[in-house]
Amino acid sequence: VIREHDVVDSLATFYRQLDRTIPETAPRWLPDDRASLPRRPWKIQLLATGAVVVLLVGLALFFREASLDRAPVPAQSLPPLPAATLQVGPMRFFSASDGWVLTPRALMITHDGGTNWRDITPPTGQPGFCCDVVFFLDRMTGWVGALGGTPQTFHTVRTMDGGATWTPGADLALGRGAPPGVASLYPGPFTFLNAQLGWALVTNGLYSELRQTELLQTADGGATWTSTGQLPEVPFLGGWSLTQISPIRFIDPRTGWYLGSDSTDHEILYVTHDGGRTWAKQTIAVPSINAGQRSYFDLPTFVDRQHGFLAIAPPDGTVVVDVTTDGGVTWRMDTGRFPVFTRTEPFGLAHDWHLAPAFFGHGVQAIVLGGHLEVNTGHGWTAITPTGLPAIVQEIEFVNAQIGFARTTDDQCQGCSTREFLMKTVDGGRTWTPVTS
Amino acid sequence: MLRAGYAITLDLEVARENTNEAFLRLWERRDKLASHPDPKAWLMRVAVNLAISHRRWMFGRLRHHPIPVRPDPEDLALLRIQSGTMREALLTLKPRERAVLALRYQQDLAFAQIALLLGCPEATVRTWCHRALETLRTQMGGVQNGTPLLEEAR
Repeated sequence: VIREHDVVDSLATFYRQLDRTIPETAPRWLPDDRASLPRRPWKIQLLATGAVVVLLVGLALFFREASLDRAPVPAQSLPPLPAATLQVGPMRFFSASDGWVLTPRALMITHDGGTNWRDITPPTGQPGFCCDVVFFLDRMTGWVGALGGTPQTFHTVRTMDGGATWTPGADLALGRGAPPGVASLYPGPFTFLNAQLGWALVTNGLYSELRQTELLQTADGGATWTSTGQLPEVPFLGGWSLTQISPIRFIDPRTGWYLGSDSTDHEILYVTHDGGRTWAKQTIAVPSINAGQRSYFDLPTFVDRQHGFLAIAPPDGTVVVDVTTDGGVTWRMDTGRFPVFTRTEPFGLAHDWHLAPAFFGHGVQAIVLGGHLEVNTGHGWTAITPTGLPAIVQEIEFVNAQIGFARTTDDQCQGCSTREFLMKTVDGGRTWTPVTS
Repeated sequence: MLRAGYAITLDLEVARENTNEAFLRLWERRDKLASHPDPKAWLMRVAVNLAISHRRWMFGRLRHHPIPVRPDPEDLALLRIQSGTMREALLTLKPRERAVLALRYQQDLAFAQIALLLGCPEATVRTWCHRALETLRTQMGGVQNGTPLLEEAR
C-alpha cells in the first residue's frame, strides 16, 4: 500500500534530481532581452489582434451554446451576493438568536440571529489577526487560541461574559518539546464539557516523520494544562486544517472519540473510556458491500448521553448514518432510509473526497451537498432542493426545525475558496439568504 | 528561484524565462520597491505566480526561444527526468498544486510561508497540498507491479 509519506519521499527525490540539473549560481538576468526583440510592423499587429478578438468571441459564443445543453449547477445560477455579505470561517449557533462566527480578521458574536454583529476579538497581540481556534460552551463562556511569537507559542484566552472581557490562560506546548528539526507547532481545537473540564490537541506537524500529537487536559478552565499522553497516529484532516475541523470530542469526563489516520492513511475512529489516557479502535457498522474499503466519516454527535449519530461516506458515494442507543458502545446502521444521501457529480467522491456536511442536533438531522439537502425533523427524511444555497456547503447547522445556518462558498472547489459566506434559512432549509455584516 | 520555477513548470526553459521576467519586473519597479519591506519575497512571489500561469508566456517562448536539443550528457539527464512518470503525474495536477508541492517539499517552506507567498489562507494551502498528494498517491497506486514511480527518472 502506498502511503502519503511514500509520495512525499518520491517527490523529494524527484526534486533533488531536478535541482542537480541547475547549478548553484545566480539566475541569468538579461534585462535587455525584451528590448532587443524584433517588433512586428503595426499593421500586422493590428490584424493579429483583430483576429484573436474575433476568435475569442466565437469561442465564447460556442461554449455558451454548448453549456445550455448541460444540467445547470446550482452555484452558477445564483444571483450575486450582497457586498456586505459576511465572510466567515468556523461558526456555531446555540439558539435562533445567539451564535458566533470567525471572520478572516475578527471573532463576531450575534444575539439577534445574525441581524447585528459585535466584534469580540480578544487581544492576541497580532494586529490584523484574530484567532486560530475558537470554542464556546454557551453564549457566555468561550476559549480562543492563537499561534504566534518566536519561538511559536499557542496562546489561550478565556471569556465568561460573552467576549466583553478576556482572561489569559496558559500557553500550550508539546509536553516533550519539539523534536530537532521540527519547529512547527499546529494548534488543535479545544473541546470543553463544562466551564472547568476541557481538552486541547497539539501537534508539531502533519507530514513530518517526527510528528507528535498530544492531548492536553485542563480541570481549571484553561488556567493550567497537563498532558494525558500521545494520541494514536495523527489526526485525520482530509485536507482541512486543525483549526477548521475538530478531530476530538468528549461526551463525559471519561468517554470521548478521536478521528485519526492509520499508517495506510485510512480514517480510524478511536474511543477512550478513561479520559484520553488509552484509546481503542471503535467498531462501526458499514454496508457489507463497502466492508474493508476506505470510508470517510465524521466524529459521532450525541444528542444526549445515550443517543448518538455518525455520518459515514463509503467509497460508492453514498452517505449512511450509524446510530447508537447505548452511549456509543455499539453502533448499527440506521436503515430507516438507506442510504440517506447519494452524492451526484460533480460532487461525487471521484472529484471531491470530503464527506458531505452533516448535522445532528436540536431535533434535526441534515446532510447537504451539491444543491441537494436531506432533512429529518422527526417525521422521516425529506429531500429538499434549496433555493439560494450554493452548491458547496462547508458546514450546516439547525437551531430548530425551521431556522438553520450554513457556511458556503461560491467556488466550485470545496475548501479551495477564500470566499466563504454565512447563509440563513427560516423555513426548514427551503430558501436561504446571505447574512450580512 | 530558478529551481522552484523548474519544479512548478517542469520545463527548464520556461523556468529560466520566468526567472528573467521576474528580475525584469524587479528592475522596472526598482524605485517603488526600494522601500519594500521584503523585496526578496516580492521577487519570489512574482516568480511563483509566473510559474503558475506560465501558459500565458508559452506563445512568446515558442516564438522567440525554440527549445534546443543537444545530445550532451546534461540534456540527456534532463530528458530522462522530463520523461519520468513522476513528471507525468505532476503534470496532471493544477499548476497551483504543483506550486504548493514544490514550495513545501523542494523549498522546505512552512504552510504559513506558502500561504503568504501565494496570498491565500493557510488552510487553503493545506487543502491543495493534501489533494495533490492524494492525486499523486492514486496515480502511484496505479503503477503496475509496484514499480517505483521514480524508476524511469533515475
